[in-house]
This record gives sequence, C-alpha cells and structure tokens, in this order.
Amino acid sequence: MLSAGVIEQLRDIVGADGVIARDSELRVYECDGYTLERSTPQVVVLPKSTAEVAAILTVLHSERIAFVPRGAGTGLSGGCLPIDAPVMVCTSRMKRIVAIDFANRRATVEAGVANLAVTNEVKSRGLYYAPDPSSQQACTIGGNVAENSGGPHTLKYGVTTNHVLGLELVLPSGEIVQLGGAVEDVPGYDLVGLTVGSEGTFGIVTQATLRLSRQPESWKTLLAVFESVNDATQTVSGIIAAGIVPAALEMMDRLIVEAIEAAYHFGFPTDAGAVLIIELDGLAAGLERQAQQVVEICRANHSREVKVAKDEAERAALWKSRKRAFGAVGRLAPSYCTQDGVVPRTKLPDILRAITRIGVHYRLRIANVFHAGDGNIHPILLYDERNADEVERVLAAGREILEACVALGGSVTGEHGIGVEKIQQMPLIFSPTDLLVMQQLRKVFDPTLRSNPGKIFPTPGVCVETTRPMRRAAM
Amino acid sequence: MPTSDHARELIAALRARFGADAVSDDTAAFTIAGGAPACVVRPLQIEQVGELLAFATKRDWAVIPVGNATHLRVGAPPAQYDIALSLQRLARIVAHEAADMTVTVEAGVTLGALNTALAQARQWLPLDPPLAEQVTIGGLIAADLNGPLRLSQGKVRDLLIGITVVLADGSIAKAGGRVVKNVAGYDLGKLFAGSFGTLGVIVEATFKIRPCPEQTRVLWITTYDDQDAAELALTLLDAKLAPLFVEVLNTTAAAACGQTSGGIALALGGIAEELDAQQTVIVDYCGRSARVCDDREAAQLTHWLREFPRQAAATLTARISLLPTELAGLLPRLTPEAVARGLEAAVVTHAGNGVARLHLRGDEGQALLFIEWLRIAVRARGGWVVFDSLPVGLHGQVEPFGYRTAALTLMEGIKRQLDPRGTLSPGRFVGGI
Ligand SMILES: Cc1cc2nc3c(=O)[nH]c(=O)nc-3n(C[C@H](O)[C@H](O)[C@H](O)COP(=O)(O)OP(=O)(O)OC[C@H]3O[C@@H](n4cnc5c(N)ncnc54)[C@H](O)[C@@H]3O)c2cc1C
Ligand SMILES: Cc1cc2nc3c(=O)[nH]c(=O)nc-3n(C[C@H](O)[C@H](O)[C@H](O)COP(=O)(O)OP(=O)(O)OC[C@H]3O[C@@H](n4cnc5c(N)ncnc54)[C@H](O)[C@@H]3O)c2cc1C
Repeated sequence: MLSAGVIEQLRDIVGADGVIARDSELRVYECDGYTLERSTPQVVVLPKSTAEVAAILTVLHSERIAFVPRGAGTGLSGGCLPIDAPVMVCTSRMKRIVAIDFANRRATVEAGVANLAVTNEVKSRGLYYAPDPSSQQACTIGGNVAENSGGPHTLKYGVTTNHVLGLELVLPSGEIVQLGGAVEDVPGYDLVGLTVGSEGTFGIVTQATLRLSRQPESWKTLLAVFESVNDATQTVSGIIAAGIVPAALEMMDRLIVEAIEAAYHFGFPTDAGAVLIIELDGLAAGLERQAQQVVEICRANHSREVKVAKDEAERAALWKSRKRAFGAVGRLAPSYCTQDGVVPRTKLPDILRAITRIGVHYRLRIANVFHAGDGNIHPILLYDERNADEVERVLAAGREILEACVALGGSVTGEHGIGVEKIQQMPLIFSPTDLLVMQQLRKVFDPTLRSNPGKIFPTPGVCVETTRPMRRAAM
Repeated sequence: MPTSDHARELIAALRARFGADAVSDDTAAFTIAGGAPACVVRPLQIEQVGELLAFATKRDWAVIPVGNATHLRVGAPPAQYDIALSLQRLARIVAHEAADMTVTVEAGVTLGALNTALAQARQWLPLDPPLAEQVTIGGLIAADLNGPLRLSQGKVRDLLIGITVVLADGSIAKAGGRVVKNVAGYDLGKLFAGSFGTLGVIVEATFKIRPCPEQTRVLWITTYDDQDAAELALTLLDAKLAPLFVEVLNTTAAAACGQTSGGIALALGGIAEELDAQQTVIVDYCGRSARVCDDREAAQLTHWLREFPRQAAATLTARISLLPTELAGLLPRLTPEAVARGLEAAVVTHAGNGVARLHLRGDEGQALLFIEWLRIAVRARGGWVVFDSLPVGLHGQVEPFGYRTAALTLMEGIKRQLDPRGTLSPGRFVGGI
C-alpha cells in the first residue's frame, strides 16, 4: 500500500482535486478498451503541467514507487492497466495547445490534447494532423505517441512516427529532457523515433511537436460492394500491385456492415459479403483517371457495384460510419475483443480464410473491419463476459489468429501495441536476443523499470497468469 | 593508430580464424583522417560478422564498419581504428515482394544495384544520395543519406521497416519485420538510421518501396537574388502543388551547374494530367522566369543536385537545419558573410525541409572564422550545423556535430548499453560517442 505520506506529497503538488483515491472513483481507471483484464490503481494523479509531472515523478523516484501513464484510456491492448504500479498518472488535465506555427506547419501540444483537437485547431487554415485513429475524438496525442497509432488514412500518409518531430519527456527520475525538436535532422541518435511506440515504458511524454499536413485539394471516395470477402481482398492486392496508393483502403465484412447499418442507417447493402471503402486524394487533375482504374480493378474482381460519394456530406457520412464501427459492435454481443495482426497485403485472402476457420472451430462469431491497404486486420471476437468457457475460447482463438499472421510472414500488432494482451506472442516474432536488446534500451531511460512495468516484455512468472482474465480484479 | 607489430599480430590472429582470403592488409582505401587500420576483413556471412565482433571486442580492438568507403570521412576521426569491417561481400537481394511493395536486402548491396533490380517491377527505393552506384544499403542507413527527394518521399527512417544488426558482443538482433505496419517492440530501425556505425553493424534491412512515377518533369525558375529565391520557394511550397523536390540554388551553386543566375529547381512526378495542371499553376505564379527543362537538361540538373554534397573541390562542407522560414531568413546572409572573408560559398537548400548544404572554398583560417559566425547565427535561429567534411588542418578545432543537450546523456547511455567496451567506431559521433 502507498503510505499516507506519499499521497499527501502528491496532493501538495497537484492540489486536492488532482488526486483520486476513493474506491468508487477509481473504478473508472480499472481498464482501457481491452476489457478482458482489470486492475485498479491505488491512486490516480492528474497533473496540469510538465513541472507537476516532473515533481510527481521525483517523489515516486525517491520512494521507488512504480507508475503507469494514462491518456484517454482508449488503448486496446491493456497498455495502461496498472500492474505492480500503485500510481496512475493521467494527462487528462494537460490539454493546452502550446504553439502553432502555420508557416512551417508545426504544432506543439500537451500530451493530453485529443488527436482531433489538433486538426480542429488548424483546419480553418487548410491544415490537419494526418494520423487519424478511429478513436480520434477521444484518444490523446500522448497515447498516440506511446502506441505509434495509425488510422484509415495512414496507408498513404504514414503513422504517428512519421509526423512527430520533437518530444518533451519526463524520465522516471523526474528529469525533463527534450528529444528532437521543431527542425529536421537534429544531430544524434533518433531518440524521438525510439520513444514513439515505446508504450509508456520510457517515462511520461508531456509535450509533442507535430508536423501538420496540408489538406489535399480533392478527394474521391468509393464504396465497392462484393459478394465475398475473398473478392474484396483480391481487389486490395490488385490495387496495390497496380502501383496505386490510395489515401485509405478499408474493408468491412457482412457481420460488421449489418451492425453499422442497424446503428447508423447509412445505406450499406446488408446482404453483401464485404465492402471496401477506397479513398483517393491529391491534386484534382488525374484523380478521375485513377478512380477509373480502381473501378476496373473492382470489376475484374467481380464487384457487384461501385458507388462514388457524390458530395462532401456523403463522404463524411461514410467515414463516420466506418469510424464508429466499433461502437456498433455493442449491438452484436455484450463484449468483444479486437485483434490487430498484420500480414503482407497479398496474404489477406489467406488470413481471412484462417480467421473463418478459427471462428468455426471455437464456435465464435467474428466480425472484420480493418485497414486492408496495410494488411492490418482487426478481427472482432464477440463474446459474453459472463460465460467463462466462451472467454477461454476467445483467448485461444485470438492467439491462433496471431500465430497465423506470424506464419504468413506478418506481425502480432500493427497499431494497438503489445500492452499486456500480446506479451506471450512476442517470442513468436522475436528471439531472446532481440528482446534483451530492447530491454537494455529501456534501462537507459528507466534503469529501475518503474515506468509502466509488466508491459511488452515477457517475464517468467507473469507469463502464465496474463492469459487469465480478471485475475487482478481482487487486487 | 596500430604499430606494425600490433598490426602483424592482429592480421595473423584474424587470418588464423577467418581464413587468409577474408583478411587483407591493403588498407589504403579505408584511411580516415590520415589514419589507416591494420587490416580489412570481408566476411561472407552474417554469422562471421558476429564472430569477428566478438573476437575483436574480447581483445579491445576497434572496428569500423565500411560499405564502399564513400562517406567514411563524415564524422569525427576515430579514437582508435584497428579493423575495417567491409560488408561488400554481403550483397544479396534476399526478397523483393513486388506485389507487397517490400524488399529485403543485405547491407552490402549498393543502392544503384537495388534500384536497377526494383525498376523491373517499375518500383524504387526513393532515396537519392550522391554516388548511388557505390553507396551500400548499410552506409545509406548508418549515415542517414538522402537528397532532394526527401521532400516528397521522406528519409531512411520513413521507409525502413525491418533491420538486423550485429552488436559488439557478436550477438545478432533484429527489430521490425517485413510488413508495412508494425508496432511490436521498440523501433530499433530508427535508432540505427544515422548511427554512423557506432551502435552495431547493420547486416540486413527491409524497406517499403514505392511505384515509380509514370512521368517526371523538371522546371527551372530564375530568381532575382537569394532572398527572392528563398521567398518564392516558400510560396510555391504553399501552392496547390505536390512537387517531388524544390531546391534553391544560390548564384555560385547555379553557376557550377551551368545556369546563368541563382534560382529554383522544381521537379514534378505523376501522370500527365497532374504534371500539366501543376505546370500551369507554376507558370501563373512565376510568369516567364519559369521554364520547363528539356529531357537532357532535366537529367543533368537532377544528377547535379543529387551529387552536389560530394563535390570534391570544397574546403569544407556543412549541413544546416532550421525551420523553413528561418532558413529562408538566413540564406541571403550566407553569401555576403563568406565573401566578406574572401571565401566562396555554394549553397543548395531543400527548401521545404529547412535543410541547406553549404560548400565553402578558400583559406582555412578564414573558414574557421566563418564557421564560428555560422554556428552562432544558426543556433540563434533554433537550428543545427553539422560539418560533413573538414580539412585535416581544422580537425580538433571544429567539432563536426557541435551538439550538447540533456539528450546527449541518453545517447551515451545507449552507446554504453549496446557497446560497453567501445569497439565500434569509437569517438566518431556526437559528443565523442
Ligand atoms: C473505438 C476505438 C477505435 C480505435 N481505432 C484505432 C485506430 O484506428 N488506430 C489505432 O492505432 N488505434 C486505435 N484505437 C486504439 C487507441 O485509441 C490508441 O491506441 C490511442 O493512441 C490510445 O490513446 P489514449 O490516449 O487513449 O491512451 P491510453 O489508452 O490512455 O494509453 C495507451 C498507452 O499509452 C501510454 N501513455 C498514454 N499517455 C502517455 C504519455 N503522456 N506518456 C507516456 N505514455 C503514455 C499508456 O501507458 C498506455 O501504455 C482505437 C480504440 C478504440 C476504443
Ligand atoms: C548528409 C551527408 C552528407 C555527406 N556529404 C559528403 C560529402 O560532401 N563528401 C563526402 O565525401 N562524403 C559525404 N558524405 C559521406 C557519406 O556518408 C558516405 O559517402 C556514404 O555513407 C557512403 O556509403 P558507403 O556504403 O560507402 O558507406 P561508408 O562510407 O563505407 O560508411 C559511411 C558510414 O556508415 C557506417 N557504415 C557503413 N556500413 C555500415 C554497416 N553495414 N553497419 C553500420 N555502419 C555502417 C560507416 O562506419 C560510416 O560511418 C555525406 C554523408 C551524409 C550523411
């Protein structure tokens, strides 16, 4: 247990309203978007500035107390689940846009700023922040940096790491360091690149300097309807192989289309095997020819119809439906678990066949909505939390899907991170030496392993336990 | 540098271990700042790289990994240099998955050879450093090489998706993979891009590659002076264009590539409709000062811009990085400051990235004064200067990186973790790493 003295010190730093220690209020923080495991922190601290974060970490450092950083808690791999970490440091009160440099297309923001808030701040000037996770209304820049988040449009424009130039990081010792900066080619090792995707294990990111992009002059958004998932995935391969790089290339199967349609009434055909959302963007000139090419590839792969969004409103409605797909899943089952494997894009037909087979074998319903252009799948495994046997089957099926991705030359996570969820799968893709090197690097930032312990790296002992859902509920 | 006794002993030990044909004492091409290693080792397999490093580390021999030695003079002179480890014989293209748009190569493959192979599928690795025919993939990554195309295509870090390295203790580690999107584990590729051979030896890499543009077109825009050029470039970068590159040349640089005055070289790529529409926009802005280069001039200009960092005649070369508007502000001051010291300065900038390459010619003492002015002027604007090559007379007087921040402590920590005995390229990097 944390001593009353430590909690007192934390109150002195952030004020009484910045410390949450009552059981009933702590329940909100017991899990993120990955709900199979839960664990409640002993105290949640809500700093308002970098200086407060530094002061908090200095106290924790001198008391040798571990902590877990948290943004909006939308993570899907249990990244901010407290494991052997009594203190949670949440950035929800650090929402300042620090500076915007329109001429050089840079924005410096605090870690708790929501992803979409950056775009909202600059869109009147024709700019936007390119990485667009479907959770962008809620998820924070700090969380994006920690997970190296992607989104539908990262196919053409790159993921978080391609858009972050500088970071302000508070090390677990309490020291504040600046990594990279607003200019390109800062001398030295690329510590920004190493920190992006480190899942909160290097300390707490307090500010980020982001690259802003100019909105494309023009869009063309197509909805292609197919009888089968196989035809849709062959189309994806066909588009990539033709040398076309769409801004986004997303697939949804029948189950997810039905759920979205029931929830939002966009007008999707609920009897189709699969649909593709294909967005082309760039200069207005030339888009027409590219769109024609895409339509031909769809036809060659037996598309039933290809519709082009006729105006901006229709386009926006289409994307809203796609981005709220997860929300609609609630209609299908009480609980769901999303996997995040990646395969080489030409292997999409193979992995989707494997998913169907695994679903049948484990008697589970699995819906698919994913970033097809990147080969990044998101099978959504539906279940009922109260059914212990079904929970076990979900876990086993999830593991098998990831093993199938690896067998096809892929990886176990494209954008959601390892967190606690996929710790056991790390040895599928990395040798003990690979993992050792990563842990050596972690020690440079966090020598006593107090920042987000129990994540990413398999440690003997934790190994068996993490597959047990809710094992820490009683903690 | 090694004594002859030391060298003989070292060569004998290495030959006994790795075979006579893998170890050579012909080290002339591997000299750095006047210092030659005792020998060159050319392993045939990744495993041998591991054995060699473990062997050297145990004996505290310093090793510098070498591709084709085209960029060896970049960085500070090594604190110790016993073995040049050449990757030339690790030169296989392991897998080109054209339909997935990925390629896996060994470190000794040259960029030229790789792009020739990819061209058969109308694809390319869109990085354009000087001497592409000679630059190896290992050198490309380690020296973070790039060129004008970085504006539209990004740098090594944006294209590298997987990497295998051999560490000083001989262990082989990898990160990333062969898929275009992947967040499993830390992103070691980023760490090794620009690590100048100080953290480990890169033996294999996987890149995402891109389709070649259907057509390209180069425009030359004549400008009135450096200020006009810098400002016009920023305007063009803000216009409805998607150029492959936008390069600003000062008068000295422009003269060297056969143009009569300073100006902007702008390249477009894509399908004909896109090129035509953009050309119209540019001509609307620039009027008669813009012209489309014919094929021959376009090729010559593109080649010249790519090779500019390698021009041999310069006394020293520097890279400046600033915010684009700050660079535009500094640019008009560079030439007068050089001229005032009797120096000649050729400057080419990647205007959209805020990166300038500067070649200075003239008296070394005056050059030193200019360097001092430049460092202060660039720091005052929030940027950095790195000296890629310095005359021997200025070694020791000018620190090539001139970088001191709190992050340096972390960098030193990383070096200590991965190479605790300082086997690899000791003293070559920022802060003496
Ligand atoms: C409906 C839905 C849709 C989603 N769609 C996508 C998508 O399209 N693409 C995608 O990539 N992800 C997606 N996600 C996953 C999730 O939104 C992202 O991982 C997001 O980046 C998490 O941000 P957060 O602020 O919620 O972070 P949290 O969940 O609070 O934390 C995530 C991780 O980041 C760490 N962390 C948070 N803040 C900091 C900080 N300041 N410093 C250091 N570490 C920190 C935490 O410790 C934890 O390990 C989706 C999630 C949901 C629920
Ligand atoms: C921005 C920039 C500007 C430059 N400008 C000039 C210039 O003006 N003039 C000039 O002569 N050179 C210049 N160079 C030098 C350039 O670095 C080399 O010419 C290029 O790296 C050569 O490729 P290479 O395969 O011959 O590598 P090498 O020249 O053999 O090696 C280059 C660097 O990479 C390391 N290295 C090589 N292979 C590996 C590997 N497999 N694993 C780990 N480390 C490795 C070496 O130790 C060395 O530090 C410049 C470099 C940069 C980055």
